[in-house]
Amino acid sequence: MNRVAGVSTAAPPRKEFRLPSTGTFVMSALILTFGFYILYPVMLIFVNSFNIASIVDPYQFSLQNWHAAFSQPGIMKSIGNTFLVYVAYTSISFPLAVVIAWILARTRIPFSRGLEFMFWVSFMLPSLSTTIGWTFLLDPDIGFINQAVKWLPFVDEGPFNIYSVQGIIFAHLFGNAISQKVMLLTPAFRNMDLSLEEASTVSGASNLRTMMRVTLPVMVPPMVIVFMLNVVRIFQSFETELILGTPIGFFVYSTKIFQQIRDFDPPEYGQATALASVTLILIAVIIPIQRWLLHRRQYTTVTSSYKPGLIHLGWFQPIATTLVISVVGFLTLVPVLTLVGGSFMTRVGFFQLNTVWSLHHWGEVLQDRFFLLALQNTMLLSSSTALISPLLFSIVAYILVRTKWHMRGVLDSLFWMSASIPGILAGLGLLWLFLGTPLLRPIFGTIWALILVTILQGKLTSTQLFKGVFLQMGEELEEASRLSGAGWWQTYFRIWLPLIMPMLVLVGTFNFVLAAQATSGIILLASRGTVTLSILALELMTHSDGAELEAAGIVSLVMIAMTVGVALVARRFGFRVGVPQR
Amino acid sequence: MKLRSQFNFWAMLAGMAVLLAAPPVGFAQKGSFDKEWAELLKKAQQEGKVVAFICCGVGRGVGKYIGEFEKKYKIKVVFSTGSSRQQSDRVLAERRAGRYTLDVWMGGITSVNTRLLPAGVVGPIKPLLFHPEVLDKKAWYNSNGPVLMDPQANYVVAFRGNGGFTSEITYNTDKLNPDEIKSFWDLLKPKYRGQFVGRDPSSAGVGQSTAYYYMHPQLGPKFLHRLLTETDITIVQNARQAAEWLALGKYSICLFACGREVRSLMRQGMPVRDEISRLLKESPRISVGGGAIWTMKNAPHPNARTFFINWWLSREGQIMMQKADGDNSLRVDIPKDAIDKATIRQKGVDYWFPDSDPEFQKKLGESMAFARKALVSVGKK
Repeated sequence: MNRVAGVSTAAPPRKEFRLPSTGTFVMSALILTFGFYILYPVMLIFVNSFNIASIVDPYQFSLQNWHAAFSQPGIMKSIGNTFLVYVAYTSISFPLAVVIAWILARTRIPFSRGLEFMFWVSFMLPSLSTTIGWTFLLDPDIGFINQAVKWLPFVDEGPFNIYSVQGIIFAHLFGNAISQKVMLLTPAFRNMDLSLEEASTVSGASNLRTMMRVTLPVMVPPMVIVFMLNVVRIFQSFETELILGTPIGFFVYSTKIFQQIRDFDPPEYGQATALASVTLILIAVIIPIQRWLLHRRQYTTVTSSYKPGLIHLGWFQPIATTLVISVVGFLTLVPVLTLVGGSFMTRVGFFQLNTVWSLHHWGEVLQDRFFLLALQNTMLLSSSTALISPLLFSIVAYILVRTKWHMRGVLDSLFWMSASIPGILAGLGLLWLFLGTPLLRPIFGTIWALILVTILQGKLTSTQLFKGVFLQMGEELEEASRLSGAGWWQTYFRIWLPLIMPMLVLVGTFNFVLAAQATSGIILLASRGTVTLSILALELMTHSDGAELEAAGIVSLVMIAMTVGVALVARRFGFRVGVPQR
Repeated sequence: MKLRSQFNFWAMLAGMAVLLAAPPVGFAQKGSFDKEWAELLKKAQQEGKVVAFICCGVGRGVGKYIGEFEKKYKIKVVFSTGSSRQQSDRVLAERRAGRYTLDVWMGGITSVNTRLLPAGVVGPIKPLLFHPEVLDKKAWYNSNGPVLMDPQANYVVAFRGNGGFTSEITYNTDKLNPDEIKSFWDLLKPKYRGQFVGRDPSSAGVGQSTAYYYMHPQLGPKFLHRLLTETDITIVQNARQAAEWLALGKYSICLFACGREVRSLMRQGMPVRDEISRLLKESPRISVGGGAIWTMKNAPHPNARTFFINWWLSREGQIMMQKADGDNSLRVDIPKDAIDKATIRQKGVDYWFPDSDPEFQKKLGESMAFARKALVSVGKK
């Protein structure tokens, strides 16, 4: 009685202080760190877009920049042009990339790994070089192909014109549009469990039907992710449009943003930011859509009964092989031959000169006082990025997909938001971030600042790719490990890492390439002592009074050789350490 | 009368004696200069390096030659090149955060006058100049000494001054008979429609060429507007593309600062010329382009900076500049055999030198905005 009375009359139990759970602690740390790194520069740029005072005067806020940005003539037309070009090349490149990835990963195509690697090589080629390479072939007056066609009887004019809307779409397709998607999709297709396809075939379905009804539906996560990653950058691609569109008065939204910065001194960063912020609207649409698509059903393909294997396409196999070889040949041979051949020409594409062939440019580059330093810096920067990024973002992706911790959506949205600002503006934001943060200021001007930026610049793509893989993995793999007494870290290193090794290698290589080619994000942070090959190439390429394309091409070739070498080693290592897939 | 002439004789003799007894003024100055120069060099060597940003043509070419300076004076020149706009962003942000990394800047006069001087990050250069070769007025164009290119005439010194005849017009020799062009107004004739290619006249790097047409008393806004709206000019983003199209015969005439690239193609045997080699009705201009120098306030290596600036503007420095760039120095007391023919200032020609006008920057921005508006009106922007 007493006890009962005691219970009923006792004071309410005092809330005891409890340490936050691991999840709360980790999520808080991640959101604070990434939030500060991503939001601080974005906010600075955004706030400054409302400031119309000059640099020496006190802030004066106004909507003037926004009004001026959106009332400039042709801005709406440029948005229309952007969608026209994007829809055209994506509607061709995406299905084609899916088919190629499927052929490479799911069928018995010869030299599958080698051909896949060639798509990586294509991705490693700078898009500016590939665009220029194609202009030498398809210029209506001087293009080699048009010249050759003119020799035919009854042909007076070359049939191709790269300086056209169709030319811009073509240059995108044979730049990075196909190769990047194939590169990102193929590892996911390799994770497909053959037993699912076998079950379909045993039930009497054809290979095509199996692909459409079994393979593609379970490949939704990686396809959605790759698609969304491309959509979010719709307003950022401008080099191709700038070279091929300007002479015919064809402008896209990104060239309008670029004009605000390049044409004015001081640059109109306020107006450029106003224009760039439209991407935030896109992101607001993308995030819920991709979340809905990824969470509406189960996409597990790798379980404890996972059975790797390949399909034989029968009579269609040689045709499929020819298709893949032709596409990859176009994607790699033309730009590489242009770069290599051009590097030995006095002026690339000009066979009419007094001296056509020359070693002059090689001498210039190799004797450049900063070349060796740039090479060393690039190696250090890219290697650090390639080693750290995959580990870091695989853990972030694991948290986003595999845990039930709160605020995961916030972290995911933060990453998507980072894609809203074009590189040239992001570079300015990062400069302000480093100089305005006491913790970061000491590393400003050192290689460590550059390494930090390059590690984090691939955060969105890396995390989303790992998310796709984790969605394909069955939960029982982890449960078995944990039941056997393994801790989280042990499970991660003993179970997860071998399973996701192909993606680790891919993301590592991807980030190595991004770091080696990084320009706009690091150019304002680099000093002469931390100059990289990409900055050296950019300097050579962008002399407005005369670009040194041949020398820039040589620097690009060195970068490509370096990245291809590293990618080869990484793949070999990855296949040795990872789970055997064939 | 005789007494007076005798007095004149003795007075002249005494004067001569005084003149001979006194140390020659020049020698005395040289002696003190040598001492000061040596002391400065010693301090500069202790600092070890000078950090410079070198834009444009000089930045492209100087790397091959600057080693001679480093070897001779044992001072390292750490220089970078690239876009002045981006460099301005960086320097302004650095300075706001109290970081001082840059000593010297060479480039065009737009960024310095519109951004750096108003922000108060440029240091006065005039008090730093003490090398007798630099201060010698007669050694410079028009015997005016070094030309200062900022409204206060204290911060920015021009060292480049290209002349020539009519270097604004570059052309394809197979497609254009230059004798047909007597005046810039002839370019507006219908027969030349569609034959023009040019760099973007509304972009910052081409501004001085745009301003030539806009501000020239015999041309002006009316001419520039008609040139951009009536000739169906094709606008491209860089000089190389414009010059190559000219060389390949796609176009007959290249406008807006195509000279350097056209010259390179001319040397390589292509049928192009980098100027019309005679005067038109309108007077030509002296072009400074990216050939100005200034120093940053609170330069981290002040002695090396002062030494380098004086050396750069001296005979030795300017001879190197001409070799590196092929452009013409404003110094008149150095050999001109290394420079491009189209940059030579012709005797007897009354050149227009708008860059030295303190109001020039204001008009420069105005002319670029005018060009932008004209291009937008015909859908070329």
